[in-house]
Amino acid sequence: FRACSMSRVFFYFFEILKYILPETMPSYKLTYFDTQGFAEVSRQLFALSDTPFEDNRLPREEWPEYQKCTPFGKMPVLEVDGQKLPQSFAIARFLARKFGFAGKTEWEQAWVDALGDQFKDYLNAFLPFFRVAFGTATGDLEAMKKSDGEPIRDNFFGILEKQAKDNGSTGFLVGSSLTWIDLIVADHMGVVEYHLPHFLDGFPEVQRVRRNVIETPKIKEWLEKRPERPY
Amino acid sequence: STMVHYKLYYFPSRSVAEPVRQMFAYAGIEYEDVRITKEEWLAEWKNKMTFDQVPVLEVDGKQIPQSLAIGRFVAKQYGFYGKTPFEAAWIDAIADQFKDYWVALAPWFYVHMGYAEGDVEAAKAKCAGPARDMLFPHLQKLLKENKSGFLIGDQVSWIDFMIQEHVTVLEEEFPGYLKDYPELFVHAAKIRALPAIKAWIEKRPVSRG
Repeated sequence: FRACSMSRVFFYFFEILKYILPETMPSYKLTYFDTQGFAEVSRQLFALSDTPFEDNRLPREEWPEYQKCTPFGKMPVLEVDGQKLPQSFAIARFLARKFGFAGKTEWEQAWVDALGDQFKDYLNAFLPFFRVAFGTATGDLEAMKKSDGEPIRDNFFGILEKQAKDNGSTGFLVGSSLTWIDLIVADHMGVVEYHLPHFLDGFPEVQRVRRNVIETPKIKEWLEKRPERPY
Repeated sequence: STMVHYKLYYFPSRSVAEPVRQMFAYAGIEYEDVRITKEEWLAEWKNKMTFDQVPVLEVDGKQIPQSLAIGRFVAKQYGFYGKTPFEAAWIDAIADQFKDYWVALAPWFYVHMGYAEGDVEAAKAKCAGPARDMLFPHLQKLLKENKSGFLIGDQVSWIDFMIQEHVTVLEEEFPGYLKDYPELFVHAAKIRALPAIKAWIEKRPVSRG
């Protein structure tokens, strides 16, 4: 059973329920390409909270038309009772707050946010090398690994390693329970290791966070049933 | 209750620290506005700052890095974050879109300002239009649709300060860049005219950007 078929069943069930009982939960529709990418963290937040959502995976050829009705010309887009919200981290933070995965205090939330921003900065720097690694750009992989991949990795994962350790080696980056930054880091590590095995072996605390995420029952269940894509 | 002690660390410029300074000004919050020169940064400050970066907000001695995380934290504390979770999410989305635009604009902006070497005309030809298209049509649409004159909701928010500061720099450094987006100038003038902001602008240290 494909995940988006199941969620479509749930979607229509809850649409009918909403019609009968006006005070039920909002309807959620998340639209993105058929990849993990920047939508995966939000899909995992729905899974963690047992919240039904329409996992709308847009075929590439439908993108130019769909783009015209996106708020900022990009995906993912979340619709909450039909109201649109763009930007993957704004979506993730909105859902994380609602479902309790944003950080338990304002201080923790600020730190989850800061690590999220640092991840984006890292990804912007890392992507030119990474695209060569997963084959969507050409270049000298070994040379770029030494000049870009490794130093950029070491800078960011060094920060995460320290953060995880300072946080008590609990398997969470911030606080004492799962937050959306744990999900983002774990997902990214999976994508990196798929294309560059052992590239992240040198970060045992962060590996502990990743294991913690993928062994969380509801995430484990989601990972088993989701469509598997290279990134 | 004891007052929270804030220290904001940044370079002697407005840039990504200015929205935070403006929120403090508007809310009447005391803070230490620490401005670190480039020489001081390398000589003594870089390894005192979490993530080896500024801006950093120190709150009773504990540091938060990353300008957007700082902005959001302060916005939440002092009511610049919309009235509902959905408004807050839209404020976040604009902040993130601004950051994406900034990454696209930076190659041209940095060369123009003299922060980096390069051919300013070549950078402009490559970056200026695509960057602008990522952000300003969307902001224009929001301003046209929102009767309050603010970007989101019916009161001033974090991203009003953020966008106003940047539009001000564009007016100063790249006149004509936003000629098709007059609503952004109306918005910037409105924010600059808010009494607490006007007072801050008059007393703040002068910097180019």
